[in-house]
This record gives sequence, structure tokens and C-alpha cells, in this order.
Amino acid sequence: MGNRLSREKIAQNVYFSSITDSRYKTNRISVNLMLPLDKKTATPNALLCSMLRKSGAEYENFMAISKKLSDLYGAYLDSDVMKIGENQGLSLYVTAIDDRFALNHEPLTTECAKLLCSLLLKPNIKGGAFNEKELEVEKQVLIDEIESEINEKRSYAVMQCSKNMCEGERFAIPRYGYKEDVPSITAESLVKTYQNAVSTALVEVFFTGCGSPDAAKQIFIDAFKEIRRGEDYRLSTEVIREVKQVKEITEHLDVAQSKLVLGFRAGSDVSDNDKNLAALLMVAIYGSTPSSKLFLNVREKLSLCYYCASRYDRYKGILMVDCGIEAGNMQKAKDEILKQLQEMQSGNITADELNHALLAIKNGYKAVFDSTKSVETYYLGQIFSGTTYDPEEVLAQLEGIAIEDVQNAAKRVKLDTVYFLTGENQ
Amino acid sequence: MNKEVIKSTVIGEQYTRYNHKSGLTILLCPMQGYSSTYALFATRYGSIDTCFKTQHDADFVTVPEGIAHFLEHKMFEDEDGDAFAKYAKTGASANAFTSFDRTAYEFLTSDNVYESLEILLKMVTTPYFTEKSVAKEQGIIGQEIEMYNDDPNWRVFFNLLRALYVNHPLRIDIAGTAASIAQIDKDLLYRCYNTFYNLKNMVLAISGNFDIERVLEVCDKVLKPAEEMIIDRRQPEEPLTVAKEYVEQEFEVSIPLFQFGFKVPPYTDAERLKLSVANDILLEALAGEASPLYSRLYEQGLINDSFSYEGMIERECVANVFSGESKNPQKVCDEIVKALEQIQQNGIDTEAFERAKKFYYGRLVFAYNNVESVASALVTSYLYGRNAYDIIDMLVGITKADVDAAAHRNFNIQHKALSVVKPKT
Repeated sequence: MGNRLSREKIAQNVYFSSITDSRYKTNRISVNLMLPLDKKTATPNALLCSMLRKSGAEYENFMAISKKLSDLYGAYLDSDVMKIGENQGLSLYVTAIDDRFALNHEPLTTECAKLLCSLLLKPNIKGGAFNEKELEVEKQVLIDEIESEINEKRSYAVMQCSKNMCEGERFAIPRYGYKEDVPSITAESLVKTYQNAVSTALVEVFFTGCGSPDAAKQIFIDAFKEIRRGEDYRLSTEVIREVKQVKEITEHLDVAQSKLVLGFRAGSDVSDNDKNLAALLMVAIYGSTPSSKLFLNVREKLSLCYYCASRYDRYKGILMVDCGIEAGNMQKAKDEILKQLQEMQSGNITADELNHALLAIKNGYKAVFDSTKSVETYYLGQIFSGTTYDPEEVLAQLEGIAIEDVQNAAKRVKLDTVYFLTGENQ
Repeated sequence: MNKEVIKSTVIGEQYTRYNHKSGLTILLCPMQGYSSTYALFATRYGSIDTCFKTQHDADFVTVPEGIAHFLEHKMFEDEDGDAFAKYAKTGASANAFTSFDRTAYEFLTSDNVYESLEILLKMVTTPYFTEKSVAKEQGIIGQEIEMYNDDPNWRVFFNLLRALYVNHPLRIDIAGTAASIAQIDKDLLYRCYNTFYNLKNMVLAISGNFDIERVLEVCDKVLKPAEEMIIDRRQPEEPLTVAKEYVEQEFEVSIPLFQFGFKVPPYTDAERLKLSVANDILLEALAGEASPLYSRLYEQGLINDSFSYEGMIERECVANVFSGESKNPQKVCDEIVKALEQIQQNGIDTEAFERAKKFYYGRLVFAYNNVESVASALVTSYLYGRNAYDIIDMLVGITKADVDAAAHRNFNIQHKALSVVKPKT
């Protein structure tokens, strides 16, 4: 097993965490800026994230960064915008092979930390503005990105369902923001966005790998000394548990296969660890594995679909079930999905089902340390949930959950929205 | 049992190849410190194997499109139940996939490795098909096909293959069509199974956390000696020229998607390794993020982050493919061709060559950092008749002249095609 998480405050509301383990051949460093998900700032924040990835004061353009990455033996560098409950996360990360594989003994890990730190804290701002030409390109790229969400029909349908379900809540704000808000962003206004982000965000720097995190930590400590930090931001999400009236939405597009998505209020979330874990098991039994109720009934028994799966957002406390079906089978699929939930609510859960779900979850948790990415995802998830349990501790907690707890978790689930994406002539 | 230890002096890794008495080749790579174990059991049989015979057959048979994939689905069912139900008891996460030239069954687990392995081996070596279960699967796969029909990335890719290839079965969808899978019955499934699921035509690779002796014990217990099978695959004659230079389809998308491909003369087994390494370095130097071409295209707003390249190598076919989203795919192609012609005339820039080589070396090391990618690399290298580390040795020795040669051989400006999926008008 890997070492325990070490997490240290290195500046006001800035934390450096690390996990090191000799099994890896690579080192990964990420820096995550957590901010509130807000209608006004979501779009400029998303744009800022890609601008930081494209150039810096020390790297005049994208080609300069790319050449550096090739020289670091094809190190991966990327940026990502996350939505964690009703918080927006701007993430920059780099992964490189360990120094011992460098053919000319280059100090790859230190170089990677310097690069990441430089891109975040020494941005390409001259005369109070980002590079105008680069900004225009990135604005179009962001618009394209937002518009292209319709290309993947499965994820599009799930997104539409959650947007409709959480209308009026901050959760309905898309992680990349709104395309209508892109044109008005200027090279100057984005500087304000940047200053707000680096001074107010909760910053989580994460190191995972086989090398020592010390040099990387020192680089971040020194760099953040120069930054004036404002008020602390703490993550927050409004969780809704009750449903007044079920919403039914049908959208028509030119598609061959219809998509049905059912959105539920889970009645559980990370604020209550016991309920959250019971919900995790309940969702696995319901529809997250090939031995789940949805897979065995909607797919195998009724032969209605290729996929029918449930997913749980533990930060927002919602549950989504989605499947791809023939348009004419919509009612049949919906009835069966709801019937399987009722089965669990009425206690129709076998010891085998509970045990199999537990085994499947265990399988994932035990492998957390097998990749630097999964370690980071796991522990950031813990930190965002306000806990610091190791995977073994979570497993021990899961083992204490009884069928009755799972049944109660199912009872807390309430249908909120039925979303149906279907062909134009249906 | 005859075995061989295969080592890499460059990265200090090793694995062992066993020629099991059943006829199966077994590749085992225990990885120190890892918690999970990944097993991959593959047969050299994919969607392109549509016409074949064995020494027992009088004539060639032509099977319905999509049958290899259909067979993959049906292997999960045995007389004593569904394999997923058996895996549920071990906690392993199991799956399978069918590609152009192989079908593979996999599991990933942190516990109960040997029980899971037994399930995998029994499942793949025990065919069980009934009329009823075939009918049930037609409904499920029918929806899988519809799902792919709505996937613009999948469509733009297959449209490209249909433009590049005149006769080759790479043209057909891996899952087939509603009409083709309707022709599948249990007898045809048995015929395909008995031809291709012969252990001498298969390979098992396991990586991660396990004990070699215990794995071999399970293999000894489950695997029965395979009879000699001479498989004769018939592929239609494929010209070097393309079927069509341009193909487009309208779709519910926001921005055009494109794939631009060059049809490459097939590699012989002897030249495959060197040519594919040289080809990959060339692609990175030509169109990687550090290339002038990439910057030019990106700064003009002609491509976005989705732009990528791939040297696609199938058993008898090779193609170089550039893909992405663009408001003007034709302009992107013109720029690629211009950059290529420059390399063909002047040779690759020395600095770009060195940088791409370094890039590629790092990416190869990355592949040995992950339990799943290790077994995948073992299987792929075996199916192409080499060892998994040969590629690293080849890379270290590759020269600028090798890459320049690949630039001429693998990019014939006459043998290219552009596929576009564009928004509905």
C-alpha cells in the first residue's frame, strides 16, 4: 500500500499534498484553484484556464511550451475545468517520466514543477492585458467547446436533464459557462478574472509519484510568497432533498437512437458520511455494474438497450439513470427503471447483491494507488468532501453497511425530472 | 513447458513468455508494488475476417458483417449462467472488445485473481449458443449499433475508411448492421468459434499483482490441448489507390468534424517495426503540438484542442490519419500537404527530429507505468510477431534518414482522402 497522505498549508488557503510510492515510473503535479460556481464568473474563469495553458511570461507562445514538454520527454501538460458540486475548479497539471529514465540525467520533476508554477503565477500579461491575438483564438475555441456538447448525444442528454432538474440552482451553470458571455470578455477584464482567481481561490497543489516532492513544494512555497491572498474561500453546495412536482421534458433532434434520462434527488450527499456511503452501495446495486438490477432487467431480461446505468453525484446529492433505446420503448424502459428502484425501497435486496456491489467497489478502491491520476482524484475527492479517509478506511466503513441501510438510502431517493431526447418525427 | 524471459536493458523491465502445452502462448509480467491485476485473453480474429476456411472445410465461407463482435457478446453466456454473474462473486471488473483484427476479453481485479482467471479461461473456451439467446442479443446489439450511428466521431472515421479502401473489409462497421446481424444464427457462431478460438491462434497476457506459479496452475487445470488448425483467410485484392478523395455526411453537430487520411502501402512483417517507429516520429515532428504546422493551424483558428494524428496499423493495412474539428477542413488538409511536401523535399528538421524522438521515448516509458497498458502492449507486440521492448530498442537506434525514408514511402499525395461530418443545413 502507498504512503499516507501528507497535506500541508504553504500559504493562506493554499495547501500542498503529496503521496509518494516507488511503484510508479512517473511524477504528476497538479494545481487546482477552487472557486464558487457563479453565473458571472463561470465563463471568464473557464477562458482563463485555457489562456494559462497556452502561454506565459516565460513562455511566449504555445509552441514554446510544447517544445519544453518534448524536451521533458513528452511530458503531458493540460488544463481542465471541473464542476465539484456548486464549485468551479480550474486545474493545471503535468506528468513526466521519472528522472531515472531521462537519457541525459535531466532533472525532469523539478523542471515540471517550475513550468507549472510559472504558467500559473507568471501569466502572459503585458501592460495590464493578456495577449489580444491569443485571446481571440481562445474565445472561439471556448465557444466551439460549448457548442460541441451536442455532438455526444449520451453526455448531452445527461447534461440537459441535470440542467433542467436544477434550474434556478447554481448547479445548473455549465462548467465552461455560457457562449453568450464569451464575446464581452476583454484582454483587460480577464486580468481581473485572473487576479480574483489567484488571490481568492482555495488552492490545492497535489504531487503524486515515485520521486521526492520536496523540490516541487519549495518552488510553490517561494512562488506563493509573492502573491497577495484575500479572504479564504470554502467550498459550498446547496443540496435539495424534496421534490414538489416531477418535471417531464422532451427534446427533438435528428437522432437514430432515443435517450431517456431520469434525474433523482438522492437524499444523501457528502455532508453525512454514513448516508453517503449507503447511497454509494445502493447506486452500485441499482445500476453501476453488469450484475446490477438495471443491467440485468432493462438490458438482459427485456433486451431494451445496450446500456442502462446509474451515477451518483455525491457533492450535489443527485442520482441520474440513463439509457439509449428505441423511441417506442420509452414508457416500458421508464416503468422498469422505476420498478427496480421500488424493489430496493421495499427491501428487495439480497445479501448477494449487497456483497457483489461491495466487491465491485472494493476492487476500485484497492487499485487507487496503482496510478498517480487515480490517487490524486481519490484524495482531492476526500479533501473536497471535508474528510481525509484512506481507501482502506472507507472500505472498512462500507463493510459496516447493512441491507436495511441500503433500503433506507433507496427510500430517500425521489424522482425529479424525466428527460427524453428523441427523433424529429417522434 | 518451454519459456523465455524477455528483458529491456533500456528501462530495466522484464516479462516471461510461456508456450503452454495446450498450444496457448502466455505472457506474464508481475509488477512490483501494484495492487491490481489485469488479464487480457485475445484471439487473432476481428471484424475484417469475413471470409475463411480451415483444413477441414471444403470451401471458403463468407460470414455476415459484425459476427466477430456478436460472438464476443455471446461468449459471456454459458450453460451454467452468465459470466458477469460469476465475476460479481470475485469483484473483478470484466469486459471485452472487438476490433478490426482481434477480439479480446479482459478483467481487472484487486482480489480473487485466480478465481477470476478461471472464469475468464472457462468462459472463452466454452461456447454455448442457443436460438433464444441469439435472438435476445440481436435486440441489445441493435441498440449498440444505433448508438454508434449517432456518434459523429465513429461515423467520420468509418466514412474515411470507406473512402480510403476500395474492397478491404476495413470498410465494414465492426458491429455490423441491423440487417447483417439478423442473418446470424447459432451454427454460424459455432463455425466462427471453432475456427478462430483455437488456443494456437490466441494469446493470454497478465500484468500486475499475481503469482506466476498459481496462474500456470489455473491454466493447466482449464486449458485442453488444441488441435492443429490451419486457418486460411481470404481478403479481396486491395489497390494502392483510394476509393474516393472526399466524402461527407450531414449530422446533428455544431462544427464540422474531419478525418484526413493517407493510404500507406502495407508493411511486411520484417519492415513493420522500423517503419512504424519512423512513421510515429515523423507524425509527431510534422503535426505534434511543438510543430510549426500545429501552431499555424491553431493560430488561424483552423483547429482546436481536439486535433490529433494517428499512425493506424492493422494486420494488412496501414493509414496515417489526422483528425479534429474545423470550420474549414479542406484548408487544414492543404496546410498538412504543404508541410509534408516540404519535408519530402528538404528532409525533416534535425532539431524537430531529436525532439520528436525524445517525446516518443517518454511516451513509451509511460506505457509501462500502468497495469492495463502493460498487458495490452504485450498482446499487441505478440500479435505482430515481436517482443514488447523491441520498439524501445528500435527507437533508440532510429536515424533521421529512416524518418526521411518513411516520409516518402508513407505519404503519397495521390493516395489520400478527406471525410467530413458537417452540421445539418
